Amino acid sequence: MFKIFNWNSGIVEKTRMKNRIMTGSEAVMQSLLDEQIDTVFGYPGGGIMPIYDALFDYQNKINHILTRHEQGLIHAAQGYARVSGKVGVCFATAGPGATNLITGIADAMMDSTPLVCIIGQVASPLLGTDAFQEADVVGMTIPCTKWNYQITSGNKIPEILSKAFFIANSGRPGPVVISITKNAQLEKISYNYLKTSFLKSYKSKTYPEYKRIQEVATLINQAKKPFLVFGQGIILSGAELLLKQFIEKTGIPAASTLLGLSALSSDHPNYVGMLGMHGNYAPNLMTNKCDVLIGIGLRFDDRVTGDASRYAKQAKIIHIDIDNAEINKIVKVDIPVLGDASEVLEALIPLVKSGSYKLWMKEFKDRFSDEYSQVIEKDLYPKDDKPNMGVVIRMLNELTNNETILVTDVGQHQMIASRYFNFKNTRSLVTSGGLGTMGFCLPAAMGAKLGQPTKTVVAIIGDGGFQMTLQELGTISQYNISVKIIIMNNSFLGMVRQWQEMFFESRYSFTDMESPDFVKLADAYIIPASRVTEKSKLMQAIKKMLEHNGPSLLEVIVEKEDNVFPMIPPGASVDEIILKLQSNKNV
Amino acid sequence: MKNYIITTYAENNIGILNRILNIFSKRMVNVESLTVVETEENGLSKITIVITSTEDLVSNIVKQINKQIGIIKTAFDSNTEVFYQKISLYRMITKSLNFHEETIPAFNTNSMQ
Repeated sequence: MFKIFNWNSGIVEKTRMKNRIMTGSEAVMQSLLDEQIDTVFGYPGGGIMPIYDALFDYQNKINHILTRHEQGLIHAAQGYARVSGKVGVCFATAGPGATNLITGIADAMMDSTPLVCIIGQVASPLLGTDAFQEADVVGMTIPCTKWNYQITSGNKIPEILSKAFFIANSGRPGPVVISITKNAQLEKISYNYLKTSFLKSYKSKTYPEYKRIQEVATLINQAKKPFLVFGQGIILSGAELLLKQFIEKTGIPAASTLLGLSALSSDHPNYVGMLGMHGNYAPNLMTNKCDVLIGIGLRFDDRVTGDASRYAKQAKIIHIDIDNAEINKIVKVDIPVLGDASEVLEALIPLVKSGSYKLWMKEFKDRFSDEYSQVIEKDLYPKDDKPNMGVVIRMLNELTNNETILVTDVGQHQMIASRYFNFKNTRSLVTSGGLGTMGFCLPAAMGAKLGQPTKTVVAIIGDGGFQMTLQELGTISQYNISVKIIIMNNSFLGMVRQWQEMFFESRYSFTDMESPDFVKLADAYIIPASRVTEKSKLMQAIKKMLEHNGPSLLEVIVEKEDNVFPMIPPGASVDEIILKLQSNKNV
Repeated sequence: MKNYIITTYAENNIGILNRILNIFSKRMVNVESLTVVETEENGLSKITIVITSTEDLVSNIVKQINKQIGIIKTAFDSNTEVFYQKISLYRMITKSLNFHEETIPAFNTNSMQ
């Protein structure tokens, strides 16, 4: 064993192996093995056939999941990466295969999910000639990748893949696209894999300034009404325990963004709820009441800030983030700290004084009771016998002991599920937050189950989103991936309908949707399914579905025109959050 | 709105210019001038971009450029902070290659201004 650091290439050689002669495609397989990748999501085609031919010999080492559409495979890889923390690997072919991946790549970019997409490409002499199934994949994916590269010579494969895995899963994670031309896949090369841990033009690590951290500590120690908001950065940096220690020592109330959910257990006494457009009442209101706002690992997305020009203007804002481009992007901050959440928290904890903010916490609790009496009670314990989305989530909480991984699609059910699900373990929510991709849930749930095979994975989907990627039932059935699918069917594109009701004078323009018989559909895929229309039978049905060994589907017919509240109307400030439909529609 | 000059040092890879310019189009900022030159260091290019924008926007853009993989360093200056140096090249017809003042009579200090 040697350890050699090469300053020119920035590559640390871990072991010096004898170079082996193999094809470029085999080199792809070997590189995956050298990166300890055991699961790949893919769909073959002309441009990637040599790689699939090499995969044929590696079937016992690499578990390849054949989906039914490229969008399905990339969302599955996202789900896999999100729950496991490993890099999700995708194979797709040139042209349409690659363009079908783009939604997922953009989604992964927004939600900082580490992916490496290996995409076939026409042979390099044909590049730029509009050859059959040629698409300028590198050009197309520039805006939505952390890095991308086109390999035209087989020799480059180990080096570029090593770089790809390093870039995808370090710093702020993100998707990397590697396009490999067909001639490079076929070329004979001499294989030697060197793991990358440093690149000259990429800062994977930040070194937070101690002075800044001291300033932060001083500000926090002087605060009368401090408020902590955190995002997915906590999960990505593995800082869940440190966050818990920090808030327990300081007694500061903490709220999460949509993607930060599950970083802190939902029943923690200092946890005050979710931020954002459909977040909880108290944390949104208190953002504009606190005197120090501490943001860790979040990017102050517009759904969190509402009108950014009226966001926490009274407060001194501290922003701790690993990505320099996020600092001062939307919210002007007083103390920016560039650094990994866990490093900063580790340095910060000894500097802050322990305390509690009883009166300040009580303000949160009072607002929570307002929300409870006006919204939550009606959502979770409705009087009529028609099931609604809140009830389904409440029953899931009761039946699963919160050990499940929740995967949601996008829309009303997503908001209800993230509001009411009790998160206990980290990485137990997979949802498309930034891009808001409908059709994300079913394939992502499949990937999540493969990433955490011992956990129960529940997919909560609307009738609209389900029909966008329902072809993946085929994959679920073929590999017997034990995903528990709950379709909340309100025969509407619910969230859009809610907006039409509130902001477009109830002109329901193309939001009512007829669906097929989902039970029969599942039956065609040999997945046991049932339908519930009465609340009294719901508990039993969910229980039966969860207990079934293997995938199962439950369709719940929910109230058609329910609205999700609280809500920060678009363009409003966080403290203008409303708890019910207002008679004046021009909110 | 002011004129800003963004200078960035980038690895001379295919597509990197595309990556940089994308950030401008994403933010709907018009690039007024663009030059790419090789630097003395092998494989590094110096890219100079002039835009009209606000300080907040240009600093955000610079951070986003810096974030791209392949970028070594990016900085920006407002127009007033930069000294200009102009170099002009003149091409003149001479009868011989003997560069003597007499052979190029039109050459005088006035024409340099």
